[in-house]
Order: sequence, then C-alpha cells, then structure tokens
Amino acid sequence: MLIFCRLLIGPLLAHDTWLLCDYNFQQTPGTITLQLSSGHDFPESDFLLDKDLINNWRLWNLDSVLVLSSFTADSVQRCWTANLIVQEPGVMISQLGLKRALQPEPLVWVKTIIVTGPTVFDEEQYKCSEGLEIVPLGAIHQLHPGGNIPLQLCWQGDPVASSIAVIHPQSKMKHLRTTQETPGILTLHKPGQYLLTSTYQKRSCSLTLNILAKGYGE
Amino acid sequence: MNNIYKALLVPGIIFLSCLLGHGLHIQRISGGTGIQVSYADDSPLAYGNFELLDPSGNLALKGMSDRTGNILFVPDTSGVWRLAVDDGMGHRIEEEINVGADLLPMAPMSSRHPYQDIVTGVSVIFGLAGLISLVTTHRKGRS
Repeated sequence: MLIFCRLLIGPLLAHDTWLLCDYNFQQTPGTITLQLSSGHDFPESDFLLDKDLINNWRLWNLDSVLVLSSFTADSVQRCWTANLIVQEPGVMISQLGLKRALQPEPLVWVKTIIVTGPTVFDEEQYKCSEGLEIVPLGAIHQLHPGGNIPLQLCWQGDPVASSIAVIHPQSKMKHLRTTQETPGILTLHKPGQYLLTSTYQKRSCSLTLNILAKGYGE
Repeated sequence: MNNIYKALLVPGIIFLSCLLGHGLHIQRISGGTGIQVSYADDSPLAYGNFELLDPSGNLALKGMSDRTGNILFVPDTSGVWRLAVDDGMGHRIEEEINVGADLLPMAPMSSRHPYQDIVTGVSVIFGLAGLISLVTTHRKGRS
C-alpha cells in the first residue's frame, strides 16, 4: 500500500516541460508554430515558464543553426510560442535548455523533431549532441500505430543508461529501460502526440513525437 | 609663487573633498537571518528568485538565492517579514519570519514536527485503505 501511494503521489507532483509543433507534416513552404509548455497533464500546459529560464532556443538541420530570439507569451494557452517559415522539406530539430541565471548549464533540456517533407532517414539528423537528449534511432516520418522505434538516451552525444517515460494522453504511462549498448523499444499503439521524458545525473530532458494515423505520404 | 599656491589652495581643498566624499566602504557584519530553500528531494534551489517584504508590506529586498539555495538578510525592524521564493518553473513558496524587538528571528510561526510528514503520510495511507475497503464492502453487499 505504501509503495502504491508513493507511486500515486509521485506523478501527481512531478511536472514536465515540452515543445510541441503544429506542422503535422504539411507541404513546404509553410509556417510552423512551436509551443513551449509545462505542466502535469500533457499536452495541457499548467503554467507559463519564466522567460529568463529559456536558454539558447535553437532550430537546426544538418546544414545550419538558427537561434530563436523572438518568442511570445500566450497567456491563454500558458505557453511560449515561436513562428517559423519553412521553405524546404526535410528534418529540423528544435531544442532549448532551462537554466536559471548564474547556473553553469541547463538542468532541463527540451527538444522536438520537425519533419517538414519527404526525407531520407539519417540518424545523425535527430541528434543534437549537446546536453541530455532522447534520440530516435529510426525514421519518425514513417512511424504509424503498430510500429516500433528504438530510443536512446544520450548525454553530450554519448549513450547512457537510464529509463525513458512514455506519456500519451489516451494511454497509461510506460517506462523503457535503456543501456549504453541497448536502446529502449517504443511500440506505438495509438496515433497522436507522445511525450518522452528521462533523467540522468539530476538532469532531465523531454522529446515530443507526433505520430500520424498513417505514415507520411500514405 | 606663494600667490599661485594660495590661489590653488582653496580649489584644491574643494577638489579633494569631492574625491573623498565619494567611494564605497565595506564593513563586515555577523548575524542576520538565513533561509535555505530546497526541493522535496533536498536538492537546493540555486539562483531562485525571491522577494522580501518588511512588516509594513514594502519590498525590502529582491534577488536570488545563492548556489546552495541560501537567502540571508539583516532585518532592521521587528515584526513579521514575508519571504516569497519562485523557481520560475511552477514552484513557489512563501514563509513568514517573525522578528523580535531585538531584531532576531523568533521561533517559526508554524513549526513542523520532524515526523509530521511521516504521520501525515501514514494517515493518508490508512484513510485510503479504509475508503477502498468501504467501497469494496458496499459493492459486495449490493451483489
């Protein structure tokens, strides 16, 4: 009973921070909106993060890096939003850290992967090699319910052992074990948005995935 | 030459006094009131933002906790000081600090017994167990 109550209270008290993208694999050129949210009940945001915490919010692909310096607060949605114009199809990553002033490095890393058109899978496209991050080892744009994808937790680009929590609004929370050699395998039962979180040496990270009912282009 | 010295004397004195009138001085003090802020897992809230209101409700101090979660101030009046600390990530805590006439902090206004959390937790567990038992018994009675 004691363990049950501790497990019950734990998720109620812990909160997560995540990045959402509303692009939904539409054709380029187009505009995408990134939303930085935080709360206890993904994907609903409970509170607006302090702007001073947001550190080095970037958007990059294999060729270039863009630092997002302009983002606005949405007091209704309780999130920070950044709008981007995407000209070319491909894969982009948006990542940021949460860090208080004078802290040497972020303690929370937040990331999302944006697929904006047909692309050839390249594992290196999904890795920032900076901070703590969850790296998919399979093509995201091909994912659909019933599929599997390996996930690896990396610190500064190197695989580490930990556990990845998988959160879906219509499913129970699951946990995947990862080691330095063996990634965790996520089986996707439902379409929609997935929040993946993990912790390592008092740091935490998150990654969001948007899984379509059918893979991109089908 | 004497006339030149005399002519420069007064302006010189005025100039030097201006220089000496500026500047900063440091005096070391001891005492004061310290608070340490930490999370439930005992990790300190480093560089968390805080605001301190004096007993009149005026903002007396504003800043950040240090890297070990400590906040230190020297009260200059007795009464109830109010400290609010926010980590910017949805966590906020407020504390009242009662300062006596000797400008030293008095015992916490709402002190917690060291085992209060354990007693509360056990009470919650028994309460939940009782509730589940009641529901189960009720369902068996209906069937």
